[in-house]
Amino acid sequence: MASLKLEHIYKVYPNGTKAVNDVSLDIKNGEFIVFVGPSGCGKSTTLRMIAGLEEITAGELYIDNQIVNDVEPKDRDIAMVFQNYALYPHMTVYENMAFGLKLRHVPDDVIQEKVLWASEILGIKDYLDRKPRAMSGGQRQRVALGRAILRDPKVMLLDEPLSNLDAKLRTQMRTEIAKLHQKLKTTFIYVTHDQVEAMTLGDRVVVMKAGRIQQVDTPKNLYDYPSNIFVAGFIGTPQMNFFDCTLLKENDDILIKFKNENVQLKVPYNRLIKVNPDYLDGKHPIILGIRCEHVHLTDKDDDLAIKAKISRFEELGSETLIYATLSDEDDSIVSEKGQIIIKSDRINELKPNETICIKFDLSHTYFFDKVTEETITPRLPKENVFDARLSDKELEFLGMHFALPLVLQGKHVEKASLIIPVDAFRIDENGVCVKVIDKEVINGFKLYHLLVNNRVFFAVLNEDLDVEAEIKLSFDYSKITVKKDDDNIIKPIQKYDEYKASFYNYQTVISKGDFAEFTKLRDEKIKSATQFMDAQILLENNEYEKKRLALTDLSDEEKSKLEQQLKEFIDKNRGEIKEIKAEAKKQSAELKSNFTSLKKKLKSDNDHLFDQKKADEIKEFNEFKKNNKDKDALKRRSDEYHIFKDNFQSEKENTLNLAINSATMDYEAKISSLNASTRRKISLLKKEIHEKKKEYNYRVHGEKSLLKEHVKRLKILESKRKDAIERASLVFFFKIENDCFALLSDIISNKLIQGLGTRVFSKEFKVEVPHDAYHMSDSTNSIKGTVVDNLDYESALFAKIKLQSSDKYVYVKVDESLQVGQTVSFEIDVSKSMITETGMNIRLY
Amino acid sequence: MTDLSLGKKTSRYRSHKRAVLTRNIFLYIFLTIISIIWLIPFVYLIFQSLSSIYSPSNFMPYLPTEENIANGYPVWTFENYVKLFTDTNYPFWKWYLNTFVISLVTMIIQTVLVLGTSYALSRLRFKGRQGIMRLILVLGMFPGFLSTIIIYFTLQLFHMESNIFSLILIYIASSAMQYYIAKGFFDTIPKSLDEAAMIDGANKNTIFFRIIMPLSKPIIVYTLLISFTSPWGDFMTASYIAGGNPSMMTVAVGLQQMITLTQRVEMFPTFCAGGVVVAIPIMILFFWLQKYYVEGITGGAVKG
Repeated sequence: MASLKLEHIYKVYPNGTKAVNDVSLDIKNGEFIVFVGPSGCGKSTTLRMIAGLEEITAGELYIDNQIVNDVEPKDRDIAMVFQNYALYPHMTVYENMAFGLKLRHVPDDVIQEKVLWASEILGIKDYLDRKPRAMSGGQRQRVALGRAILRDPKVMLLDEPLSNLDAKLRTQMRTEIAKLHQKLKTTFIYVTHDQVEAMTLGDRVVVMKAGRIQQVDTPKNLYDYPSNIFVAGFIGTPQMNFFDCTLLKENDDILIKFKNENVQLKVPYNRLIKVNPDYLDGKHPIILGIRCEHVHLTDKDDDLAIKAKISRFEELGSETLIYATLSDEDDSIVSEKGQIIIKSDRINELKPNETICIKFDLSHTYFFDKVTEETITPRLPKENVFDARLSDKELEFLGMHFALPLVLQGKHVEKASLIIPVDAFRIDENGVCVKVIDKEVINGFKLYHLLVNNRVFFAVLNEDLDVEAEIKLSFDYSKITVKKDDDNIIKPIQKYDEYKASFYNYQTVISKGDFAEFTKLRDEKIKSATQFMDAQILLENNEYEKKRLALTDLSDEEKSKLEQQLKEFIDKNRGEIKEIKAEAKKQSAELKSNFTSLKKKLKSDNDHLFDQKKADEIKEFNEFKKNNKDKDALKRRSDEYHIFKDNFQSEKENTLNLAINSATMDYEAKISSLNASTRRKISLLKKEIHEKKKEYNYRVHGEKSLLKEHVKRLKILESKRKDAIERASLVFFFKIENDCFALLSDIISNKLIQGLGTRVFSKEFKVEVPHDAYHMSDSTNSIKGTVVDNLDYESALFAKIKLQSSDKYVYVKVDESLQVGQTVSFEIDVSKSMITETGMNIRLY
Repeated sequence: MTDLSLGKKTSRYRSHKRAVLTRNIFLYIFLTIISIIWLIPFVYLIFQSLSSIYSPSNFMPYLPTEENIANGYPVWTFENYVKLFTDTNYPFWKWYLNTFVISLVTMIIQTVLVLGTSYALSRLRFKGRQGIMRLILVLGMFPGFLSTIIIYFTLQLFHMESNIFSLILIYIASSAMQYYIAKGFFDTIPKSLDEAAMIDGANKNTIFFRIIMPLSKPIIVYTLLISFTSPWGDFMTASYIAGGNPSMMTVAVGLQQMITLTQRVEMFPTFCAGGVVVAIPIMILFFWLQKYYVEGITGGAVKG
């Protein structure tokens, strides 16, 4: 059992194709995650990267908080089930399942116990000694599952395990896999292209397309809140209905205008409150989506009803799908334009070509941007838009007045729109009074629906609030935007400052100047690593000494006694082995003779049967010839007779072969079962001998074996020490804006090097620094700039600084205002920043 | 209507049967003639090896009656085989042993090399893989004897020019070039088997020896046979390495010596006997390995 974390994982093939593109995902312990998407979307590649069968181009994979990018598949403690089972055909089911444990040198009795346990769970206990080829597809897949669960892995990976099975077996195995997960409580990662499997199995489902994650959510949320057109269309059968339309806000109503169908709907604004306000201008092309079960037939022909013409029906047994079209003109068969699918049980009264009235369930209607294909009704809205008035020192919206901070004063706009991000709000004693009317928890964020002056808006707050509570609220002025006809009158400060950077190693940096602090730092790092490893070696030495002193010498008499015991034991076991072998030989000879006689019997039976058949046919034909004078009938009968004669020999052979084949299969299964069980018994006995010998050695030559182990461990420790020192001596830097060097922590440099290899030195990076990641410094190795302005937002104070080396402006969060025109120098804390490789646009940190 | 069509169908069916029969009769007669022609040299070789004197015009020896011997006809005898192993001028035993050792060692080493190379080229992805494969193919198109002289001089540099182990060296040196067929076979073994084993904890060696090898019996047998027969029957390389020294010769070189010298007439039946004896180990090897040469062993590995 383990948790998994994928951080900005990329897979780029040598020809430049990005098979997996910036996949980040947190998988909790014991979760059942399903990757779903059309073929070629990168879901299998992602799984294979988790398994270690494909190299990760960039990004990190954590299993249980350990980076495993460079860990071999066998050491990741994962198990995988393949689409084509991948059983070893020359081994029996038992050996197939035991193979992994055998390679890990697990004792044979433990293996036996585990195999029996797994086969019990999966119901393949009776087939343990069969070879895979003598099993059906479902049984083979069960063996593959058994092989996987046997090792009790941290993560189970299943790569389309059911797609080679037929429909009925698939449903059955699906249930079995779900049960297996409940029983084992291991983390399961399951790849499929079948949305039914995804929806029924997954705790959470990852929908992928073209190497990118489209949405990660529970099956229910995927269905209820698709984040883009792809997810909306992919999840649910039949597919969601889509229509081109535009939205226009008219006072308290919204006008939905269908583009191709000449249909309009008028809806109250409060029902579509979450729609991104940018799109309510009647210009943006929008796609409206609605599922067939949310379209209802209605008798009333009012504002909310739409007329449609039925084109055909599709009976599904329990319900009926009605295919109808909204546009009257288009009658061509191929056209999907204006087509709508409706689920209904009121089928009897309807006929094709009839016009019906339908009504959309507006709480289950989805709107998407036609260009970006993203939803414009996000569960978590980004911002609120208000009509506002900006006067000299005051901001007025929703009938409330706010005093502007110093930096924003001095602008005068009559009718503007004010955009406040949902995370810009905070509870403040001096703020305005609002009422909480609803609360949603989405991915850990608490989203509150607030009401003031009959207007609903949204805020994300950290505090736990009750519905109906009254709170006092204010907002962060540095995050707001004020717009007038597409002109930004007030702009928020960018979240990050951007710098260009390149990667340097220690030697290069040292050669460029005198950086005493870096040298000192490196020396300290090496020193601490050395000390740590030395301590470990000392510990091992002490341990060895302790064990050595605890040894007691045995007298010669005792030694010989032990030797005698060992000899006896070995003789006894060898005798048993001989017996087992003889027994097996006897049994196999018996089986063989049985088989030979059976074959003979089958042949004679068959001969007899077919002789009889032939005689009957001849007799019948002759009689027919004698009694029937009709020429046509006679000819037909004679043809039949000749066909019989021609086919007689081959039919006879086929029947015999069929019988012999099944007998052979049976015989082979018995023989292989016999061999396998003999082998198993013998190896168990041999293992016992080996262990006894080892024990004897330890008792008699205690010091020698102890020393041997000690030397072995010491050697490992020594090499570890060497490694640690070498690793500690590696220090890397970023050269930022050709100006200064910033030390990179081990974590960051590891990530960069892992992601890019030696290419790291030739690439350019973009470093995005948040405003609070600066600190002033007077060292020579720092970025220098001139203060241009102080921006006072009351809640925070920023200094606008122009860099000396380039014409860039950056914003530094400061505690007290700096003198304008003053030259300052500061350093960057890279660990708080985001690092992106600019060439391939790969996010690395 | 149905009756009519049925009648028509069956009558056509019978005439078709007749056509097939006629065609098969001609085909089998033709094939029989060809196989007889093909077998004649072998039968002739066996008969000559059992004949008392050299008489190429007689296909079959006569019965060993007093009269036939007196008339100077070739008669049935087994003496040539005895002579082959006892003649002191021609150390056939020695040649036989030489050839056997060379072929056996070559067979073992070459099989390991060929299978290893093929597996690597089939499964590993490394830079220049395609290039190496193409280069080997192109190199293989040159006749082997082009390099004979260079190889001889190279061996001379190391003072190995007359040594049967240098023959082994020459035979196995180019063994990796025969990767093609085995690679084709390995390509048909599903890769997911390797991957499953990898996840089970196997390293590349374990995968090769414990998963792939048991599944590759047909190709192992094929490689063994090919790599045994080629040094067994090789003449050119063996003859220049032997350099006329009888104790260094292989059977091919030795037997050729037998009939190029002056006693061609006298030695011809013995030469034929040698030819028959040479064929025996290959036959034994083939019959022994044949039972492993069964196909369909991969059944059940993946979806079938």
